[in-house]
Amino acid sequence: MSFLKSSLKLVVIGVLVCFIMASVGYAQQVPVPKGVEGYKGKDWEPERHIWTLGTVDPNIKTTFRILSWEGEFEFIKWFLGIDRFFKHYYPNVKVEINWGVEWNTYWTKLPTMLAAGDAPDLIWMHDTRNQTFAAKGMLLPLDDYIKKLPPLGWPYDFYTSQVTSFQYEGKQYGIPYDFAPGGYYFNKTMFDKAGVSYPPEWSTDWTFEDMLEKAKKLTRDINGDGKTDEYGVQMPTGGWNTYWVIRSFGGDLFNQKTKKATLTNPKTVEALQFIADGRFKWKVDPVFSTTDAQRAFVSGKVAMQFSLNDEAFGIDKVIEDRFKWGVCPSPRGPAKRAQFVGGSALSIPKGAKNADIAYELIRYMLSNPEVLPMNGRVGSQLVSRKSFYPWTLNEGLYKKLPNYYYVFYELGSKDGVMPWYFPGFQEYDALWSRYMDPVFVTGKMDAKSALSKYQIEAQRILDQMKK
Amino acid sequence: MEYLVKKLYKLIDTEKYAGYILILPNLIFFSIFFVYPFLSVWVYSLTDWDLFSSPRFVGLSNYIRLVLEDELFRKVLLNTLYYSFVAVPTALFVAFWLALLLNRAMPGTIFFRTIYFLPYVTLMSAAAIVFSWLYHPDYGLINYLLEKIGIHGVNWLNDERWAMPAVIILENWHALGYPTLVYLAAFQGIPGELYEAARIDGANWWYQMRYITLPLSTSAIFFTLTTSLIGAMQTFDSFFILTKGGPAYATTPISYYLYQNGFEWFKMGYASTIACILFVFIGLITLIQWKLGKTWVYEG
Amino acid sequence: MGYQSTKKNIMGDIIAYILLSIFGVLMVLPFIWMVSTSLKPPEEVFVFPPEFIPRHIAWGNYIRALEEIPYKRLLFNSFYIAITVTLGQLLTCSLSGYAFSRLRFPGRDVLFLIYLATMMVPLQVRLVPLYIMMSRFHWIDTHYALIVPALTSAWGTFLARQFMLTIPRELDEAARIDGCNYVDIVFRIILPISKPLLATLGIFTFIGTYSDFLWPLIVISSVSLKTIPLGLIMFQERIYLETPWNYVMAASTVSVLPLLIIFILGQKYYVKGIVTTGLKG
Repeated sequence: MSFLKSSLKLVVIGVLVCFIMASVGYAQQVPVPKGVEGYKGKDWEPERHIWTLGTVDPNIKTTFRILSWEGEFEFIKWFLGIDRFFKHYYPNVKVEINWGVEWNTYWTKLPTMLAAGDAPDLIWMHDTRNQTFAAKGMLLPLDDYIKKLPPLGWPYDFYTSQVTSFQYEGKQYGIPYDFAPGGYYFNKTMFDKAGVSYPPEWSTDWTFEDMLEKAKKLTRDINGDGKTDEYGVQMPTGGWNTYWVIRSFGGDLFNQKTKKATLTNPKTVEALQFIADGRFKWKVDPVFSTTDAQRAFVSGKVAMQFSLNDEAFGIDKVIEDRFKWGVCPSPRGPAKRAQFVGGSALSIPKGAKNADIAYELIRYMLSNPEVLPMNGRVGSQLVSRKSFYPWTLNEGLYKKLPNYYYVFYELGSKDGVMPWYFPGFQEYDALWSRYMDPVFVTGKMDAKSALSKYQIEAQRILDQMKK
Repeated sequence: MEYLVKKLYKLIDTEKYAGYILILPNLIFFSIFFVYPFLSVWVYSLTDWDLFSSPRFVGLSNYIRLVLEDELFRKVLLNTLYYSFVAVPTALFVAFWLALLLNRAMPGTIFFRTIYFLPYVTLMSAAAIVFSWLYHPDYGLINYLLEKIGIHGVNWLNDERWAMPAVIILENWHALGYPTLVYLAAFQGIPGELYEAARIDGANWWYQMRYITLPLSTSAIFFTLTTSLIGAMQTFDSFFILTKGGPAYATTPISYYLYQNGFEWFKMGYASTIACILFVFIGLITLIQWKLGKTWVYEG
Repeated sequence: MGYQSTKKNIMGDIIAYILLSIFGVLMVLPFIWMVSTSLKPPEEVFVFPPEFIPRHIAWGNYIRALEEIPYKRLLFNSFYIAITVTLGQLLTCSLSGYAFSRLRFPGRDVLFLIYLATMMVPLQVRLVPLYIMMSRFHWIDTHYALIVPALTSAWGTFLARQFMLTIPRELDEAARIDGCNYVDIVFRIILPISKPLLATLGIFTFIGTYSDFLWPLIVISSVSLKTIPLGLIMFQERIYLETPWNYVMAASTVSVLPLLIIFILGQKYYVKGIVTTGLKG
C-alpha cells in the first residue's frame, strides 16, 4: 500500500513540477535593447494637455503590451520614446514589449493573438498587410481619435502615399511612421575600373536602356576562367519590388476600379521580360540564391543594385572603406518615371485594452518635434513627418551621400508608386515564386507564358475578396 | 471521506472497475487530443474560417475547389506522390541489402548496425541544416566529391529538377536505419536449417535468396512498405528546412501546403479540407496495399 | 541464424566488410563534416577545395554559437518538456497497457481497436483542430500546448499491451491470492519487471518529443519558449548576412549529442522496440 502511494506520488509530483515550470513561460522578461544607454540625452518637459486625450487616469495601473518586428538596433529609438512617454504621463503602467519578432513569425503571431482574444495594445503594421487586416476587422479605425486630437502636422506634413496606404474604405487604420523609397546603389570603384561613366546622381536623365548599356560594360570575366566574376546590375525580381518597373513601362498588376488582374497587359509583360532578359539574354544580372544576392553588392560582385533607402546604413557598416560607392535615382522607363515607395505604420488592434493610451503613444512618437529628430538620427528611416527628413543621415553618411535626400526624399515624393495591396494580396504574392521562378530563376519560360498562368490565379484571388 | 477511500479500494479490487480506472487517464487525454480532433476536422473542412471572425459554413465548396479547381494542389499532390514512390522503394531496397550484409555471423556487425542507425536518431532539423551546407553549389562537399569523379555538380537546392532528389537523399539517409533493422530481425528469424538444407542440395547464393530469404521476409517487407509510405506522405520537416518548399513549389508536399494554408494564410477551413483529403488518400493507398498484400505476403 | 561463416565464405565476408564500410562512411560523412565545419574559424569555412581538418581549431565557435541563440534556455526547454512528456506517457501507457492486456471489462477490445486505428491517422489531420483547441484554452505560445496533448499516445499504449501480454499470468494470480488489488499488482509486480518496456517507451518518447518540429513550429513564437529544433533554424532567419556555417554546425553538433548519447546507451532497448512492433505488426 505504501509503495503504491509513494511511487504514484513521486510521478505525479514530478509531472506537476514540470507543469509549474511550463507556466514559467508566461513570465518572460523581454530585455531592453542593447545600446539604449548611449542615447539617453536631454529630457523634455511633459505637457500633459498637449499629449494626452485626458480620458485616462494618470495613475492607472495596467499592463501595456507592444508587439513589434523591429530588431535590436532599430528598436532603440522606439524604446526611448516609449520610456519617456510612460515615465511622464502614466508612471504606474507596466509596459511589456515583445520586440524583435522575426518577420514571418510576426504575421502568424499577430492573428493568433487576436483570435485568442489576447490582443496587444500597440502593433506595427505594414502597407502590404494593412488592407488584409483592416478588411478582417482586426484593426481599430483611428478617425475618431484623429478628430479629437490630431497628430501635429496631420495630414499635410505626412507623406500622402503612406497616409493613403493605411486607409481602408475611407477609414484610417494606422499612422505611418516612415517613408521607404527605392533607388540604386552603385559601386564607384567598379565603374572607374571598367571605365564606365557613373549614372546621373543629381538628375533622372537615364533610361533602362542606358542602364543596360552600362551593365554590359561592367559585366566582366576578370581572371579569364570562363566564369563571370563581376556583374553589371542586380534588378529586383520579387512581387513587390518589380512594381515600379512595371509602371515605368506603362503596365500595371491590377485595375483597382474594375477589380481585374492585368498581369497579361502587354506593357506588364514587356517590363518583366526586360528584367528576365537582363539575366538570361544579356547575362548582366546574376542569378544568386537569396542570401548571396543580399551580399552581392557589398562583396563587390555587382556594380549596381536596387534597394531601399534604409539599406544605406547597413551597407555603409559592412563596406567600410573597401570601395567607393554612391546612390543614384532608378532609371526612367519608356512610359514614365516610377519609383518604389512603401512604409510601415503603428496601429491599434481591435480588442486592445488600452486603446486610448495607445493612440496617445502613437501620436507622441510620430508627431512630436522633440522625438522625431531622435527617431531619424538613431534609426535608418525617413521619419513620419516630411519636414523632419534632414535628420535621417548622420554627418559622416551625409558627406558620403550628398544626393541621398534628392534621390530618395525628393524623387520618391514625386514619382512614388505602390501596388494595390488588396485584402488577400499575401496569397497572391505567395504564388509569385511559383509562377515567376521559371522566368527569373531558371530562365526556362518567357514572361508572357508565365504571366498568363499567373493571371488566372490572381483573378481568382481577387474575386475571392468580399464585396 | 473515509467512506470514499474505502469505496475506491473496493473498486480497484474488482477486475472490471480496476480496468476502467487504470485506463482512465490515458482515455481522457486520448479522447480530447486524438479522437475529438479527428472528428472535428471533418466539420471544420466544411467551413471558411480564419480563426478571427466567426466560422462560415460553406458546405462542400472547399472540397470542390480543392479537387477540381486548385491547380496548386495538383502540383503538390504530384510532388507527394513523386517523393513517396521514389524515396520509399529506394530506401527499402538499400535497407534490404544492408540487412543482408549485416546478417553474417562476423565480428563488428553490431558496430556497423549502430553506425547505420545514428542518422535515424539525429534531429531532422540538424540533419537538414547540415545537408543544406553539403548541398552548397560552390563550397558544398557533395558537388566537390562529384567533380572528383567527373560529374559536374548542380545547384541542388535552387534547381527545380534537383531539389526533390536532394530532399530524397536527405530523408533516405535519415530513415535508412529503421527498415534495415526490421529486415535484419526478419532474416534472423529464418531458421538456419532451411539454409543448411539448401546448401546441401547445392543451391547457390542467388537460389537461397530467391526461394528462402525473400519469401520469408515478405511480411517484414510489407510492414515497412506500408508504414514507410504512410510516413512519407506526411513528411514535413525536411521539406520545410531544406528547401522551404521551393524553388517554385517544386518541393512542396501536401503537408507543407496544409501548413501554408492553415498557419501562414489562416485559412483554417481549407486547411482542414486538405487534411481530410490527405487522410482519405493515405487510407486508400493503404487499403490497396492491404488487398495486394494478401497475394504476395507469406504468413509463416 | 542466416548465413554462416565457414571457411569458404571468408571471401564473402571480405566483400561484405568492404561494402559495409563504404556505406558506413557515407552514413557518417555528414556527421564528420558537421563537426569539421563546427571547428573552423570563419575564414576557413568557404575554402575550396573543401578541407576536412581545419588548420586552426576554433573551439570558440561553440561558445559563440551558444550565445547567438539563447541556447541554454532552449536546451532547458527541450529537456524538461521531453522528460515531462516521457514520464507522463510512461504512466498512462503502462497503466492502460496492463488493463488492456489482462483485465476483462466490457468494451475492452473495441476500445483497443480504436487506439490501433488512430495510429494510422497522420498528425496533420489533427493539426488544425488541435490548434483551434489550444487557442480556446489560451495555450498558444505556452509550453502547456507542447506537453498536455502529448501525455499519451496510441503507439505507446500498443507497445505496452503487447509487452505485458508476455508476462506470465501466474504472477497476477499469486498476487491476487495474497490479497492485492489490481492497482497494487501493477505497481508492485508488473512495473518492476517491465523495465525493458519502460526503457524502450521512454527512449522513443524522449527522442520523439525532443525532435518534434512541426507542432512546436506552429504553436510557439516567443524565442524564449522555443525548443532546440526551432532554435537551430533561427540561424537561417538572419537576413542580409551569410549563414554562419561554422556556428550553425557547432549548434547542431551540441543539439544532436544528447540524442546520440541516449541512443548509444539504450541501444539494446531501442532496437528491441522497433523489432517487436515491426514483426508483430
